[in-house]
Amino acid sequence: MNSDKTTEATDTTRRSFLKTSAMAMTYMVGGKALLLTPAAAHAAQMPMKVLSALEVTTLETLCEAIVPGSRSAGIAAFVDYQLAEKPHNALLMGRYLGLEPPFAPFYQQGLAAAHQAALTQFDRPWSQLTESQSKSLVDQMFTDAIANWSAAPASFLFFVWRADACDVVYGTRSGSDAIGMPYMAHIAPSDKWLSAKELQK
Amino acid sequence: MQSISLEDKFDVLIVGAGAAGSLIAAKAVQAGKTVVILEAGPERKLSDLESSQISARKLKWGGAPVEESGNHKIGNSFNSGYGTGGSALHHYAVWLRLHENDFNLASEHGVGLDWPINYKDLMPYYDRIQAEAGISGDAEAEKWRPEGAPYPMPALPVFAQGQAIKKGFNKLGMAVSPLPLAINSQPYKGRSSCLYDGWCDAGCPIGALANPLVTYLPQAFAGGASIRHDSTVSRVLHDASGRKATGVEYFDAEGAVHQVLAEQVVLSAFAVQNARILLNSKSAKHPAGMANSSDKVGRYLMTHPAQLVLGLFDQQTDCHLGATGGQLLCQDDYANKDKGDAFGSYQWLIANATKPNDLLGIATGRADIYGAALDPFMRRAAKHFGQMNFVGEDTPLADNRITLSERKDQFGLPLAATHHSINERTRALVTEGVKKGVEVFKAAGATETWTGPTVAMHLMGGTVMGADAKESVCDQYGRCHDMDNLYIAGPGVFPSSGAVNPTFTVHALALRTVEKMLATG
Repeated sequence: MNSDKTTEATDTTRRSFLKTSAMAMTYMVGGKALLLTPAAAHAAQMPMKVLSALEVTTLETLCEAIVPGSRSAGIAAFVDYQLAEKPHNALLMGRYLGLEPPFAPFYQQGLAAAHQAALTQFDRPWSQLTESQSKSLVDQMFTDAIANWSAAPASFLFFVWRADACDVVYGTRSGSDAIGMPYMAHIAPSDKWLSAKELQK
Repeated sequence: MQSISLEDKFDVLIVGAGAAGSLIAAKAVQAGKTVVILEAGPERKLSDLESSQISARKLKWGGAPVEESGNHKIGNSFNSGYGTGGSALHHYAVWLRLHENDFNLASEHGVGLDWPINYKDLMPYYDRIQAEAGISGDAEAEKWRPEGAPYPMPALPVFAQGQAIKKGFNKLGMAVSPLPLAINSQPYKGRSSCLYDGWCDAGCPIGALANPLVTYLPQAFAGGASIRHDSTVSRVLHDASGRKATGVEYFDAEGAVHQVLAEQVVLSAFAVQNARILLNSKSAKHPAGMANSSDKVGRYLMTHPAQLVLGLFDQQTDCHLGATGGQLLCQDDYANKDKGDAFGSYQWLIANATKPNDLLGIATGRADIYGAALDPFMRRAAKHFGQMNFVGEDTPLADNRITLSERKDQFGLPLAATHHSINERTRALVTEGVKKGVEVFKAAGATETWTGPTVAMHLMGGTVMGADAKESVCDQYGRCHDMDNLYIAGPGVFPSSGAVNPTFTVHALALRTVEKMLATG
């Protein structure tokens, strides 16, 4: 066992692009494991593990208003998957921001407050808001201007959701390439978010 | 009541597989000692270190929550590691020496604490460590550098971002030098050289960056050291006299309790968890927690106040290239600590390699840009972005401390509660420095300049060393004053922070510690 560790330390080669390390979000369908990117999970409308349908449409709509492209990049699938993970395996940036596990209540209370704000101001859920109405609400979230907000501060939730949305839009190889920044991976991730070791469990 | 499994006895038991623990393990086995390492987090391999700021989050703290309060919270989750290699697995390899003026704050300025040693005591250990692990730099160009052997490798290259920002320093008459990095600029001791693609924060899988997986852990394992992952140490055990540590108790991943015995015990579980373990090790002989007769365990918790200065430049900067820690260094304001309203040294880490997302990424730095304006900004910034990091000295304050919370973790152990505030003079230091940084960016021709929030960078203190047993937890070698064979290793023993990144000093101190242990054990 000890000699294996030493061997690995010297055998990992430069820019090795180890395919075995690919990350993936796993979904069990018909007894088989499907490995999907968040975007693919979104496109396939894979079932959510934690978030309700209303929470999904609220998250997708407000994130789309903050980071265009995040809906189709799979923001809801990404967040939902991470909320279902054990906290030390979750890959949400909120971990760095003092969020304590479990993370789901933070997200769900925030989404409930956002939903209530849409109802109060426009008498309809986020999914039925016009583009300008969505923009108005995220502007108010950014400045903590929404009255009777009953969750973590709206500006903090804005920051967290914006970071999550930037992860799925710009934090992948394709997202980085799209803005003209070469990704240049040592060990290339597959734009998915679960380790190979966990897939084996 | 849970049953306790009593296991083998070792010469040396080490808690924590980070920078300090790995080094001590390697040196101990090479001296013929039997060694076991208990690591709270999971096993990490080089092949786990995927180039992704998203997957990198797995490397950060994932153990029991740490409560944080104060006007300058410590950011434990970002600053701590979890698993093989500890925080050194994802550290940025900025290996700087403390300066001569960092060791005597109390006697020279009436502020904080003195170290029980001086730079001259540490210098030979810095020299030996840099030869073993490898540092790339230019000692002559680093005009502020204290005496010591030149670096074993030439400096890493400076890319367009560094060249762009350097102009601003030069216009203001300030000096810069290549940043000394424990990253290979050429093959070194069987490890390959850097590719300069900026994934240090995600962990370097090619061995160019001196993390424990490629420096001291292979040596430890080759010498027969064993490691137990997912092992959360709850308390240190002692003999009837109370002076001798006999081992530790720990929980495995399934919650089973184990006891491991050893002749010598080292706590190297980082600043917060070391103090937590000691405070939780109460007994009739140690009613306030082990090694805490001075009531100093947990006190003088420190972190470097840090702040980014960021901007856009007309020229292309290739900001994705280089090392996360930066390309250039400026310590022009290091020598003068007493600045009147402000106190402390500071430095600039210049031209950090930057990715689009994550806490230090381009997007996060401008949270005020969103909606339709975001993508055009990201496309422009991907080509023209630049940043540098102000790193300031923290003032050691006794009330900045780690205590035990009323709340418990999954094993029923009290959580660590941390309180950290910076005082007015430290706040003034940050304000003064960042103002200067903005001037540098403007002088460099940045078309847009902005600053980030003041954040916590690095964790130090909590189990400080000192000459007086009534005023400190451990002696100059990390041995607890109250105990004959219990040692503390890591940045927790720092009595003051200086303004330089701590990992090089952690290694130098750990080498002193293990040599003392081997001489006495």
